[in-house]
Amino acid sequence: MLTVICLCTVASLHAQENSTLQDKKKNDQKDTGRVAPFFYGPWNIGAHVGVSYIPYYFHNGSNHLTYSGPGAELGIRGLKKINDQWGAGLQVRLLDFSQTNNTSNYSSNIGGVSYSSVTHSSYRFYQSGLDVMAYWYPNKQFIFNAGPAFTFNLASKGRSYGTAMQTIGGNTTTTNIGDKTFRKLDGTKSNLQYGFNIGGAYVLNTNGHAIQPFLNARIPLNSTLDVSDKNNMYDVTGGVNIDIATTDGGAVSHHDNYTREKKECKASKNTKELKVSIPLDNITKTVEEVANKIPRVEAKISIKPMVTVKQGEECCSIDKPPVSYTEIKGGWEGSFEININLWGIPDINYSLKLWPCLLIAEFKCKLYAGPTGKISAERVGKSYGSLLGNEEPRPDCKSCVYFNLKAEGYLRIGVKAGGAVKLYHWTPSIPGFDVTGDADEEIEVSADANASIGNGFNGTYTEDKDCVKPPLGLHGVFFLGKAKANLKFTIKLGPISFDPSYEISLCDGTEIPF
Amino acid sequence: MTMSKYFIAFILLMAATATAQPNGSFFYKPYPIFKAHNATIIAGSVNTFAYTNFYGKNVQADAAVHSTPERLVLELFKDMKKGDVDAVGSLYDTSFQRREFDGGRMMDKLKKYNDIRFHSKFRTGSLTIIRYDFIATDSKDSYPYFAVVQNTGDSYWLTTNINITNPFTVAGSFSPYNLGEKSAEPVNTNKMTPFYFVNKDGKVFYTNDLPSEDYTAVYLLFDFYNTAHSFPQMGFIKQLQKAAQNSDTAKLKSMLVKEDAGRLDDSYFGNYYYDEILKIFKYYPTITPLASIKTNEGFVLYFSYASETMPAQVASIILKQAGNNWFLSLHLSDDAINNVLQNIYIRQAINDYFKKKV
Repeated sequence: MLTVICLCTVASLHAQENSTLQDKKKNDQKDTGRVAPFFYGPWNIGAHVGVSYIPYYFHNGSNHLTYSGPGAELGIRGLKKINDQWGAGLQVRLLDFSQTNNTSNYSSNIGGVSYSSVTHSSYRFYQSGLDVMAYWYPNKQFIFNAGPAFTFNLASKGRSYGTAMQTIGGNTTTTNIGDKTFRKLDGTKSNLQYGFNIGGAYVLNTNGHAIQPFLNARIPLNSTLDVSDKNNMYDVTGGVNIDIATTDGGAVSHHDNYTREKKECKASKNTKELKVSIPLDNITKTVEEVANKIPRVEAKISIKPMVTVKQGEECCSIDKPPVSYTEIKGGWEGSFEININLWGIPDINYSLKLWPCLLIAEFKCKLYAGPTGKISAERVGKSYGSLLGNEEPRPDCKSCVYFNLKAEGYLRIGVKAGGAVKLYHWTPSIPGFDVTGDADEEIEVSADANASIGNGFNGTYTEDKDCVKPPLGLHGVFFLGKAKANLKFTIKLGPISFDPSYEISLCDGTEIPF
Repeated sequence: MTMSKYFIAFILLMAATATAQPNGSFFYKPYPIFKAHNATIIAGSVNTFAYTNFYGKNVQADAAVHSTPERLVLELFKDMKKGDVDAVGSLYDTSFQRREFDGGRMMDKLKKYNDIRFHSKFRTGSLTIIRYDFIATDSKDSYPYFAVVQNTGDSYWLTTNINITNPFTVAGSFSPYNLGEKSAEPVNTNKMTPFYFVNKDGKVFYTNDLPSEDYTAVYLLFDFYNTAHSFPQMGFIKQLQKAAQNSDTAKLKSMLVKEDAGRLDDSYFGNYYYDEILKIFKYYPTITPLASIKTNEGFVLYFSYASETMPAQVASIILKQAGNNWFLSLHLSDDAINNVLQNIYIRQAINDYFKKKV
């Protein structure tokens, strides 16, 4: 008893809690990983009106008697969508139908007296039913259902009536026999018929409640009447289901998200093109900052900010107003200039052994760089709302606009070397290279060399907070390829000439992500 | 009598054979390139063949000219003596430029020499350097010289193309077998880090694992630092970093070796200092000493530098000691260590070696 009181109290308290608490409960359940009860949440409540045709077979030994007749059923149902494709529900219905075996003829002629009769026999049943149904929504128009069906026989009645004709000597007498009134059948009692039902419906959207014409068949698996004969009542019902309301955590509202007819979004087809200035200073600044952190590199980046854009309207959701969009045509072009401060030849003023010779180069190279490069920005995606400020958030318009920034160029590096190379031959008698006196050979050399280096950056830029990939802001990789210059010159070494090449490292190559 | 006749014939045959081909085989024997504080800091090794009393007159003169390097060099000597530039040209590959050769100059330079003496040869891939001297048999006068020979598979050709930056040339030039009379001082390379360079298809490859092909080895004696704090001059590095981050030019200049401060006006050194060293210490907060190589004045420090957005890179600086103080320097005084450590291939190999470690 105490437990019951407690439960009642708890139930009462729960009843007093508002939907906020229920929301919290929902969240709590989500947080703890528990699954919410199936019956929680919005249910679609509807009426069920149908006309049935019910053939009724008696199997009495080898005799098969067929009764058939119309019926009417009225019910109420509730269904809940589990997801976009599946749902489940219950349906309670009342069924009234009669079945008739139309004729039972009899005739005889005995002693000049002929006798004939025609008899009509009918049954009438009052039943209630409970259908448990699984729903499948292949699309927005069709609903298919299947599941077990339970029918309770509330009352069974029958009648038998007809006419009898007797002819004697040419005089015919006709009399009514039986009674058209349905009377309770003796020898039958209420019992349960179980089976399964299967059907389908078509959703008609109207301004009011959704109407769904349906066709349903119930297939029994046991006999209905507690008589010695085996019998089955098949049921084919056609009618309409009418959606009445949707419940939401106890509250009832007249909304139906998937059956109610929605106002269709209509977007204007007019578009306009205009020039828009987009501030890109942060891009150039960031890339410059990154590049200038690379040892030996100085970078200047410029991107033309003027772009041609197309603006128009587009529908993101069929039931929401159109939204303006901005589409940038073409891309941006810019330029960059990278200067590499070519220090990397501390050994150019060198003395180097070349097998039995000593080369002392007393020249310096003049290194010059002529960097060229282009930057291109390719827009990816479409932006919704105003380009420079969104007046109304539209989460249904998932815009992710970003720019692929690419820059690449080749830095031509020229080397002009001039000066003298002194050659000293190995002196076996010392032994060593005697560099105190005049050089064995002194040659004025000049050399030209060229080298190229690939450099640039790949990146993405977006200010769109809806973007996950690529992430917000400027990201990418600045890369600078390895570069070396080849210095080639001719020297006369003793009796013959040589064309030695000398390689100078200009840049080790690097990649800097930003 | 018959026996002694055959024996004499055998001896003559052996003698003829001995003069056709030099005796010996190629070998690797590490030798010092640079020493500091009596320790070998840099050593080298190339695939070497040492001749023993092998002269031009010992080369089999009737063999095909391009059949052996020695035969080729002997023919070159003969043609140069004659001043026959066309004949010299026929010994070369496509690198030969006739206009750069002067027959008169050849004859003039070689007029007093009448034979050649082979000293040694060094091999990497298809390239062989023949070290020989022009000699005058009637005097001790000699002219140390070398030939660059390419092996094309079945024949040998001279070439004028020589990459003087190739580690083979850089390290090989220090070989005692190249420079004549020096005896090869043994070097224990057990504690040194080897860098092996291999020539293939005109390219230079390097590895830290002993290759199966001909290689040139450069051995470096590093002092490794497992942690930043194990580097004794970490305080100096921190000061340098702080001064660079604060753009404290006065402090930065005071940290330079005195004579190097004057070099900053030269854009050659100025760019190196401002755009390389200071950028690294200014923009990259993580400076981690990796290893150093001793010099007679201090050491060359290899370190990694990184920032939050940039993966670790490797660079080096030169530190010199004056009294009890340490200073930054812009150049290495010793040519040997300079030529080895600043060599484009060796520098890249060292850089990659440390990059794998960071």
